Parts: sequence; structure tokens; C-alpha cells
Amino acid sequence: MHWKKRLLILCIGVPILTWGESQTGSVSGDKPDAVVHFSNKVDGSYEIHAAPVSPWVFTDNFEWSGPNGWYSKGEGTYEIACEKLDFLTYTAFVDASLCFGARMNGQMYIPSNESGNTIPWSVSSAYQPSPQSYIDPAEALIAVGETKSFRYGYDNIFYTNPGGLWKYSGTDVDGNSVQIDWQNAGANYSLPTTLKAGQYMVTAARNTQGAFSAYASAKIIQVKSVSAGTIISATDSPTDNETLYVSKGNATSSITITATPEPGSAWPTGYPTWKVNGTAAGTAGSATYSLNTGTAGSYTVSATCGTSTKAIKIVVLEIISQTIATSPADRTRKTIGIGEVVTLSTNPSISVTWSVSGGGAVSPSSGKSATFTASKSSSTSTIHATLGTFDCTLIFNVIAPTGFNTSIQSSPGLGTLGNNQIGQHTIYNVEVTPTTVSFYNVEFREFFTNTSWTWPSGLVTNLGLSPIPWDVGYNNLTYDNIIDGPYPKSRIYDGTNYINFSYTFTWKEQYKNEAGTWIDFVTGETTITEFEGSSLECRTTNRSVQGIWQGPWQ
Amino acid sequence: MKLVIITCIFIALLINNTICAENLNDKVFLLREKIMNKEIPYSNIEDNYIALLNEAKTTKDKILILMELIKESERDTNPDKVIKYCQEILLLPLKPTEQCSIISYIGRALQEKRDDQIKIGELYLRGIVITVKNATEEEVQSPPAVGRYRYIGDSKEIEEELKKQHNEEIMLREKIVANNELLKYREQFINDCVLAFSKVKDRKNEYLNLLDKYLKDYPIVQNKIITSISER
Repeated sequence: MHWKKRLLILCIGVPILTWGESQTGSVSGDKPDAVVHFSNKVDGSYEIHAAPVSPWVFTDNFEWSGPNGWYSKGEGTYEIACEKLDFLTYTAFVDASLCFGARMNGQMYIPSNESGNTIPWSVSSAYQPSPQSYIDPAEALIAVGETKSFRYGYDNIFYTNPGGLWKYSGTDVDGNSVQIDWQNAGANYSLPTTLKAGQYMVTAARNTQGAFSAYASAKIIQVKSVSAGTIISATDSPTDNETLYVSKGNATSSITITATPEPGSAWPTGYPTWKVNGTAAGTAGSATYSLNTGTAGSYTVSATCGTSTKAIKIVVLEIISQTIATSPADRTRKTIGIGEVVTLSTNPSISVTWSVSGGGAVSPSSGKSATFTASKSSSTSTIHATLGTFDCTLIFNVIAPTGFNTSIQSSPGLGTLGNNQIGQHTIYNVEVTPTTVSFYNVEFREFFTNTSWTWPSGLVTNLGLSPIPWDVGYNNLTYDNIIDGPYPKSRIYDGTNYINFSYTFTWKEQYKNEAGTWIDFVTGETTITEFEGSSLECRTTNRSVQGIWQGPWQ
Repeated sequence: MKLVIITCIFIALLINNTICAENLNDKVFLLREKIMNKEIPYSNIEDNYIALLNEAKTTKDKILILMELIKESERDTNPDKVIKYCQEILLLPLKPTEQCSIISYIGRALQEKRDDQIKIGELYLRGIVITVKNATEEEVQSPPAVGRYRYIGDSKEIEEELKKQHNEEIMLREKIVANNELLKYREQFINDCVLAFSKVKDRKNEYLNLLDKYLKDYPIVQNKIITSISER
């Protein structure tokens, strides 16, 4: 092995003294193949010599091969070389250290060995360690429409930024093949932002022959779909087909919307991003978004990756109810009186199919609103607002009257005071209970028990009153007109004196149920009418509520 | 002896399969209950009501039974029968609220048949006219209470006065209830009319002419409908 210095290159007319490195590979019959190693990464030129070890002799011709830039110094020289040319920046030739894969080979023999044949020899170059090309990053997830810079680099070479040629190929999500030829883009390269989502391979090399090529995998990711429940949307403008209906829950209830990427199953960093009705929401980079369903409304939830967006519509539905009765004040109450009428509507306002289970009637059977008429019997009625398989419900507890309150409203009496007639006229307030609901749509009646009595005068009264129908307004109020007389005062004269006397009247209250049957809800009630012999006054005590003494009358 | 037993069984069967009740009202009520309890095959419901209809002597009874037939036909999703019985009942003198109820049934039946929306809209316009002509109050009111009374005495005059007052209260209540119902129907018909015409916006001239024809004298209602259609 020997060293050789050469004055070599003129560049822009200025002579430059360039140092080179020369290596000799010696071969013989025992070791016909030699590998030479260059010491320097950086040098002006490189030469490889092949030399036979005595007694071996080369034949005249030799063959050689080597990457772009290597050349033979001529027949019989057993020497190949390459030089670094800085001004030629577009071929691998400029970077001699990358081109050590050169090789010479020929035949050799031992002179005067008559029986001997020629045997092949070879000398090749290597560099330790071998140059390694790469693209950084080797794998990339890119949001569609966005840029990502790739860098072409080498390990173990003297140029840190050697420049390069780039190309890419792949298949987009629609199955179309994409292939772009070499482009001279330097050390850094970005795929065009117009590329569709898909799976691509990026290649970088030192020349169009692919010298020292390196590869990177690039997935351009878009949102394939967003889904919630059984609904999957692959559009950014969701219609009815991409709408999920859910019933309004409580403050903490929610529904999960999941975004799916394509190709593959991974998202670029920071994606997807989420919006609800156009406003940023959720956590960027999370594949799911949790929509609170505690507030009724129509929500368009979109997931975005780069320029790709897919959206799903979530309708959080509730049935809003309002009693027709303005009293009690809470018209949204879900406990209602038998027969009460309630208007129903959907929030948000959408057309649904209405039905009721558990009693009562709802009409019409479809539309944005309906009217529910409760059963005339106690029940638990469930309103159904359905859309396909979606069923939004609202439960009403329908209750019957249980009693009533009584108080004196007034005591009008029976005309002008005098001394001839006895009797009384009292008006009682009546309030049906419970007062937390309204019974304005209920038919009531007062049902009397036939009775008879004998006056002190000896007169017998047989009383058989027909049931009296009555009704209340929204406020459950009505009144009770109770009149006794006027009777001639002689009714309480026993032949000697005007004496105290009373009669009692028994009755009950009923309401008509859904089946048309009268149901007792107040029984065993009494009204006592008393006459005082000494004063000829009369009073009534209705359900233990005592009226005032009245009379006597003219 | 054999004949007696057979006769008894026959009579028993006859009783079992006949709607046994004193008056037609009760018969209708019993039949309704049997239908509700699924004691009568669905296919026999109409025949049972028609048998009762043939028995009906008064207009009131005929209306009652025809209403049941209409309800059952709608429940059976048979719009042709709904319309058929509605046409029959409309030949009878109906109260305004009853007319409105029939219009509702016909409207739903026509929608079920996917009939012409202009025709359906016109039907609801007729309904609106009934409500505006017959409503005496423009606000829904609480039905007034009907008081109780109990008179024990000899004065026919007082008793009559109490009865008269009671009847007046009942009539006033019925009037308010009916008025409330008319107002409810009006809102419903306006919505239904808007819905129908909104589906045929390309036939604007046709529905505008109809609106003018029926609601010329009620410009507030007319404008409400036109505005609602344009907003949809």
C-alpha cells in the first residue's frame, strides 16, 4: 500500500491542490478477493489499485464496475478512480465517499506453470461503517391538507445536508394509484397539500437512478366518519339519516361520539378536533367527544382532521307539557287530576308520532304537538313521542279526588226577619282536594240518602232527592247552596211549646270514572239542620262546619 | 226434555252474544268495554256497531254510533271507511265542535291516503271558518264551576229558582267548554292548514285564492297562515 499526491482540479480558473487517498488490494491464489478500506470520509480523490502477489501475474485486461463517477485509468493499469467535483451538485459523483462500492476483477496466473489455468481475482472497496441514508421521520401521520416536512439524511458521511431527489407513490382512500416522478427538492421535502388522504411511500435518493435511496411511510389522514349509538355519519352536512335522537337526561348524562380516521386507525397529533354547533369543544386529539344530554336541543357535533370534517346531528329531545288549567300555578306538573288536559310539544320542535300507554288519549297521532287527555280513572300514563325506533317518554301520575274542604261563604238568609217562618240559607265554599291538581274536567255529583223525619207538629217529611251534578273550575272551587225552609214556625210547635228540633241529612260525593261508573270519594257526610224553639232560629252544620243562627222570618 | 235443554243452551248462547242493555247509550258503552277487553274479534267490531246503528232512532244516537265507527275505522287505519262514515255523519245536524272533530278525522284520513295537499288545506280552512264563526270568546277560559244545591222545604218557587240557576250554570259551563274546544280546534286547523300548504309552495296562487275565499273576512287569521307558510 502506498500514498500518492496529485494536483488535480481547476475550478473557475483557480488551481486547487487537492489531497487524495489511494488504496491497493493485493490478491493471490490463496486470497484472490481483496477488499480495500478508505480511511478518510473527506478527500479530494480516491484510487483503487489491484496488485498480484508474486508469483501471481495479472492478465492484461481487467473489468471494473462502480457507482456513477468511477472510471478506469486504462488497460493494464489495474487502477480505477473517482474525484470529488464540488460544482456538480446533482449527481452522486460529487460525493465520492458515497461511492465506495467500486470493484475491479480480472484473471491471474503463475508464469511457466504450464499445467496451471488462470483464476479470477477481484478487488473491491468498502468504507467502514457503510453510509446509511434515511428520511426523517420514517413514518408520518399527516392531517389531510396540511404539510409535513421530511428530511433526507445520511449517517457516516461528510455531508450533513447533501441534497436529494424525491418522489412518492401510493394509493388514496378512493383506491386511486398515485405516482409522482423524481423532483429535485433538496434535503427537505413536503408532500403537496392537495394530496388526498391515503397511504403513500416517500422516496429520497441522490440521483434519478435511486442512489442511496431512503424511504418513509406517509399516511395522510382524514376523518372517515363520526358515530354515536347506531348512527354513523360520513358527511359534513348531516341529514335525517345522520341524526341520532336521544331523550333528555339529567345534568350528568351524556352520549359518546366517536371519530374514525382513514386510512388506518391512528390520528395525527392534535387531531381530531371537535366542534359543537360550530364552537370548539372537547379535547383536541381525543377520538371521542362526550355530549351532555342534560339540555334539550339540536347539536351538530363535528370532528375535523386537517381540511376534512365529518359531522353527526344529535337531537336531545324532551317532551314539554303544559296543563290547560292555569291553576295550580305549576303548569308543568306531571301529577295531574283525572280528566285533565295537557298540551304536549317536542323540544326541539320536531314532528313525532304520539301515543299513550297506561290510560288516557292523545291526539293528533303525529305532529310537533299534541293534546293529552288523562283518563278519568287514577292511572300512570306514559306519553310516547316516537321517531322510528326512538321513543321519548313522559310519565304522568293521574290522580282522583280524595275529598274536599268546606268553609262558609255567606249566610243570605230567607228574606226579611219577622216572627212567622223558620229556616236558613247558607252558602258554603267547596274546594276539591288534593289542590295540587285540577279536577275541572271531572263530572261530580252529590248523592243523597233518602230520609224522613217527624216534626214536633207531627208532620212527617219523606225526602228523596235526586243526585245533583256539579263541577269545579281550574281552581277546584265550587259552592254549596243549602236551604232549609222557610217553614211555618208551627212545625216545631208540639202543642204546648216551640221546642228544639233537628234533622240530619246524609250524603256522599261521587265522580264519574273512565268506565262511566260513579265512584264515591266522600262518604258518610252529614248536614244537620237545627231549630231553636225559644228563639225560632235555625242553623245548619255542614260537615261539622257550623253556620250562624238565622231567622225567624216574616 | 232434550228439546228444553237445547232451547236453554240456545237462549244462553244468544244472551251471551248479544249486547244486553236497556238503552242504546248503555249498549254502546257495553260494546266499547267488550272491544277494550278484546272480547270481540276485531273483524266483528264494525258489524256490531252497524247493528246498533240500525237500532238507533234518534239523531243523537246515530251521531253517537257513527262517531264510534269513525274512531274504530281510524284505529284500524282504514282511511276510506273513516271518510265514508264521516260523510254519513255530516248529513246529520252536528254541533260546531262535532263538525270540527269530523274535519279532524277527515283531514287525517286524507293525509293517510296521501291526497292532494291543496284539498286537505281547503278542508282545514272550512274548519277554521267554523271555529271563527262560532267562537264567542277569543281566550281559553276556566270552565266556570257549577254549584251544588240542596233544598229542603215546601217552596216550589225557591226550588224552581235553584234549579233554574243550576241549569244556567250548567249551560254557561257547556258554552265555555265548547268555546275552549273551538279555540283548540282553530289552533289545530291553522297548524294543519299551514303544514298542508307548505308542502305545495309551488302552487302558491291556488292556496292564496283559497285563503282569500274562506278567510277574506278574517284577515288576522289569514295573515297568520300566510306568514307561517312563508316561515316554513
